[in-house]
Amino acid sequence: MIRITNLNKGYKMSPTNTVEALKGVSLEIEDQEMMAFVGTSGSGKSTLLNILGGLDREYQGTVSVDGKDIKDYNPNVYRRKKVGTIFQQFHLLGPLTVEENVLLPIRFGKQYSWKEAKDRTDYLLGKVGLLDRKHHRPNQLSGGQMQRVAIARALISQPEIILADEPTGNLDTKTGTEIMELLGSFNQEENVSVLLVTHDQDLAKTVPRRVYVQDGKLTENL
Amino acid sequence: MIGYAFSLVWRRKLRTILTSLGITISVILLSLIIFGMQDLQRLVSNAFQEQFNPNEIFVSNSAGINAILSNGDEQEDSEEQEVSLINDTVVQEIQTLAGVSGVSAIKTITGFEAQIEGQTRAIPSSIGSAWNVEVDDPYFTDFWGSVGSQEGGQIVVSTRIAEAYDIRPEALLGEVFLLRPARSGFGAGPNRSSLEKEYQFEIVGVADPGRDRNDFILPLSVGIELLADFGEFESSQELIDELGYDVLRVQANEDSVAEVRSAIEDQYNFGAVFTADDILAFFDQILGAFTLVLILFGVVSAVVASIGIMNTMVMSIYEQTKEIGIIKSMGASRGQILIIFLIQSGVIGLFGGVTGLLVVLGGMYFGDPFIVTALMENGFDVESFFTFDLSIVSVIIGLSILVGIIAGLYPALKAASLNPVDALRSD
Repeated sequence: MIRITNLNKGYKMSPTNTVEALKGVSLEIEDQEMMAFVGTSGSGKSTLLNILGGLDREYQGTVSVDGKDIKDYNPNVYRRKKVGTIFQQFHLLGPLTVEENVLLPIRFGKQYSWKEAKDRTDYLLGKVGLLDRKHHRPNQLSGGQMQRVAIARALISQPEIILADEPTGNLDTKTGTEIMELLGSFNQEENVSVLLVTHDQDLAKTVPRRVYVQDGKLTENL
Repeated sequence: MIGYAFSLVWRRKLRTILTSLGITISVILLSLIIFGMQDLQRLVSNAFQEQFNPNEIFVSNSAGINAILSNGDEQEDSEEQEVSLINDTVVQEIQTLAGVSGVSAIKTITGFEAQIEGQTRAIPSSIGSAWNVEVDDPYFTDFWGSVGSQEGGQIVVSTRIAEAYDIRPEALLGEVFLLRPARSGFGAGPNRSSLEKEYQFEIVGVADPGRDRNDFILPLSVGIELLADFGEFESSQELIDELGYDVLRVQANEDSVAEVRSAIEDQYNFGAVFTADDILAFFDQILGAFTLVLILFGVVSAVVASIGIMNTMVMSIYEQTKEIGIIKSMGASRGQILIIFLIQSGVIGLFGGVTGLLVVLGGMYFGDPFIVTALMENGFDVESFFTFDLSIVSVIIGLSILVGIIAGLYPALKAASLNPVDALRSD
């Protein structure tokens, strides 16, 4: 379970001007839940995702995962094992093959034997339909295929939470829908929570739970 | 992670090669200094050990030798006190010193031109010595014929004369050797009538003097007689009493060298008193200074190379900022990013070091025969000049990697401390 309590985050623009990105946000997210943070640009949704992903640790309030404050986790271990992150721009490493990109998080912390890691890579690439492309480089793939690789990479370490920042933002509607279906299936099959950020209301409607972010505050639409 | 670091190096292979060239140049410089100077020092040392008796003390009033072997302070001191003349009395006194087993005097003969009778041209400004030569003298690396009689009329010439006339050394035996006052040096000679003088000798021996400059050697009494006649002295004795000998070779007992030297220095004020060790130390000093200058060049080029590596690595960080953000979001720690960047800079150092060493080893392999030939032509008895030393090679490669790592340290720390959110937002 993820529990966010009275979360505040400000960006100091000058000694006298601080922009409050998050204002006293509180929220509880159950295990294996799939939900969307919906909001316009600058509403604070990406800031929230960065904090949940352990990338931003400068905030006030508490964010706990499985009853433990995320500040008490080793930040690298937390990013590697607790969460998997998917970006709008895919962020695959160009010189590496599809397989090497998926294996990247394993290179920074030996969670499995190399054979187990390769087996899991094959399993995930099979699930996203790209096993036959594992020796290709990202520039040989379409946008939808690159995002599938990014999903496989986010899942390689068997994380508890998938954080997806505008995962369909660079894709056409059909491919975006396929990606959402894929995330939905992993949510069920891998028992992983999926928290995504989007500005797309239609996309958000395909997600069971939606939380609207506006001016750094949350409004839940049940 | 290591594989990932190497993939980054491979991705920028052209830049890696170009950046490593700085290290290559400094490795070439430093390796040549280390290999070359070490071998030169060994060669000089061996040559001295072969040709100079360690128990021999040289006493000299030759201005040239004094200038080389004395330092400024000693010269100032010697100006205050009159220089002791090396005459027969002094020779006898030194002979009686405790620990002295023998003394031989040498008089330098200059101001003459030499010619083999029948040859059309003379050798101007010949240099000779008057001393009681022996066939097995360690100064000679080779000897043909005999030393002849001490009575006069016979001479030992050096292989330099054979080379000057392009004649085999043994073919000179029996030829007539003429010495005449050097025309080119007129003004140093006593008067016009001296120009008419000519001295004839039969060549009975030919010596290879190694690195010595002598063109001919006369028995001491004959040489002094020649100089006395040429200088129009009443007798040989008068010449020695007035001018003295130039050099004394004092043979000391093995364990008395220091005592004998000290006694000579205490009793007399000669221009220079030295042993083979002093000459060797002097050459070591010259080689040391030369090496130091070359090392300085090498170090400067290494510093320039390391700045090049640093620049390349800083540029890499700007290019890889987003990538650093990505791998940080995947769980890469500061230490791991530090290592990734240090591996990159270390590989640049390694590549530069190995390339430089291959160039040097290739140069050593192909250049050695030419250097050996040149040294042998100059009287050195060597089979090879460069010596390959695996431990030095290991140290050079280790240092190259170290320079790369040190140069990459600041950029690596900068990369490791990047904020992942900012890094991911970068273009």
